[in-house]
Amino acid sequence: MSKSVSKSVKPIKIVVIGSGGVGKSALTLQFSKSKFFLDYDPTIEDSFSKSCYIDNEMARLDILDTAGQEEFTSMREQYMRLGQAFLVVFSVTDRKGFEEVDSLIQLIYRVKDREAFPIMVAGNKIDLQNDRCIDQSLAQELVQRHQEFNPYCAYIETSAKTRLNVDLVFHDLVRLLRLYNAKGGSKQAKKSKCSLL
Amino acid sequence: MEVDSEDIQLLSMTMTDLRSDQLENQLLRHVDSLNKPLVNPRLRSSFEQLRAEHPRRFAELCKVHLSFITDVPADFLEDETACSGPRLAGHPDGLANKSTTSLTRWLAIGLLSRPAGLHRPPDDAAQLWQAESLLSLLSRQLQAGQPREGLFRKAGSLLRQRQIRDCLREGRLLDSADLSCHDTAGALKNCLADLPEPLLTSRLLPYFQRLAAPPPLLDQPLAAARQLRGLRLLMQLLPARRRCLLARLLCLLHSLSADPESRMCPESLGTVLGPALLYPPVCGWDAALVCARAVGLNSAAARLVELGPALLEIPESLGVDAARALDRLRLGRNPGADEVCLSLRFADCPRFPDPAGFTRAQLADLYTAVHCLPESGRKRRLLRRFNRCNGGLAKPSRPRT
Repeated sequence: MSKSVSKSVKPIKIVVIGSGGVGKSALTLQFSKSKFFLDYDPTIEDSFSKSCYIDNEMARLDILDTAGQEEFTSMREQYMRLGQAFLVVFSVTDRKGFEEVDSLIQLIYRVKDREAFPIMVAGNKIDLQNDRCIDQSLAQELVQRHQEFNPYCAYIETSAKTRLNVDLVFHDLVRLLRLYNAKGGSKQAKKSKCSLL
Repeated sequence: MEVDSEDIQLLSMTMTDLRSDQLENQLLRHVDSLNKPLVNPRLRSSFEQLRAEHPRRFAELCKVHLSFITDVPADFLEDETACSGPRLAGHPDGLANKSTTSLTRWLAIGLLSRPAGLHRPPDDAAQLWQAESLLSLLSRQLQAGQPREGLFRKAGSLLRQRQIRDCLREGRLLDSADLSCHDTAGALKNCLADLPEPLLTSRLLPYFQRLAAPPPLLDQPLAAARQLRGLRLLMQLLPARRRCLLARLLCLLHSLSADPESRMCPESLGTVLGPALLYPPVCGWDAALVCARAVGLNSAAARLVELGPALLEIPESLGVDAARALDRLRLGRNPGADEVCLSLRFADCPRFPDPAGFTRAQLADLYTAVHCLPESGRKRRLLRRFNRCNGGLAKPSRPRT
């Protein structure tokens, strides 16, 4: 039953972005395959799909796992154009990865030509409490700044290793997208343009 | 003479076994000789002397050796800048030959303002100096024991990377205590990617891409040996400064890949450094091209990292030929421009004084034996096969006595 239902459901394109080595692939693989892989291979591009019920409604997620290294930034704009919702990952043990979050979110707004868009910020690796250098408050502050004009932005702390909040982060992102679509976000929230004439 | 078909089968099987043993021994000898490094100091100094005093002859010698490994176009060395100058004609991918694609790519090169293959910009040396300085700084940081997990993979601070490069542009090196090796590695990657002329030069880049790509039969010793030899020859063709920089970089990456603390295997390093080392200049901006070729080019870069210091050796046969060429030049017997004396041969078969004659005789024996078989479908099949192998013209020459 579920197979036929999931096939009839339109897939949601989720793009996972973030700096190199922050755990994007680990998070994606933990969600889609329920495994934590110890491999440390940098990704160029991988895609996964998973169907699940979220709030009693079937959702088919097409997740695009991307490269974090700036060598591959040429591909970024291309997949950003296709994405319907974004998971921006940083590691709570890596200050530099966190510094990149804001610019990545800005890039999403620019590429999508929207002031608001479904974006979930995930602070990963919270199992490594001893190495933590980004406080929860710091990340929340960043997200709150965005929430002032983008109500579809949220922050969740995760651990791909212990599977903490892994499902939640993807499910909440789908919820944000549904809310965004329900409010007609895709039609209305376009950036205000000069209307002199 | 009556020959039973089973005898023939046995005879040919024995001959096949014998030949395969001989072939295997020959192959192993050939593999050993392909990559025997040059250790003789006299030959080494002749080699360096030929390179310094007769660069054109030296490059020509390398080209001939390279042509045993891969296809090298006849006009490979036709312009004055020999192996150092940017050049797109004679590109093995046919870059300048196909009108539409080449036009697109030329346009792309022009529009995207990376002047590869057109004019060497004046700041090329300055950019190389920046990369050398960054590499030295990175080596110092690693020696000082800075944490290296995910080096070249994890992003450094963009602000600090910009500061480092700004300082370098002013001709000084920023070496502050709060600079991490990730900052330096990031700046080095950017610096290599921004080189106006790729580190491996526009001329040699396609050959590096092709030769470093994992061959389909890498498990076979001959394929791996030929790859190593080809890459060693290409290294020798690089201009001195680029060769030194590449050598230092590959040695650093090789030792990094062997360090478990870094968690960066050659494949991972190939993925993150492939764009800076092996991607064609225009590729950095062309997403479609990156997607199509990324995996192959990254694994080629991984192979370079894996081989690392092994690439710096000079093949002995090249050294011997270089010394011979130098002797001839010294004696004033200046050979013609196309004449290159080689110690290389396509086949070695020291066990038989006349290998070609031996093969002919064996073939003639086999043909006669097949001819004596009673008429059957099998005999016709074997004869057809013989004719096919023999060009279908005549039976092998030596009649059985």
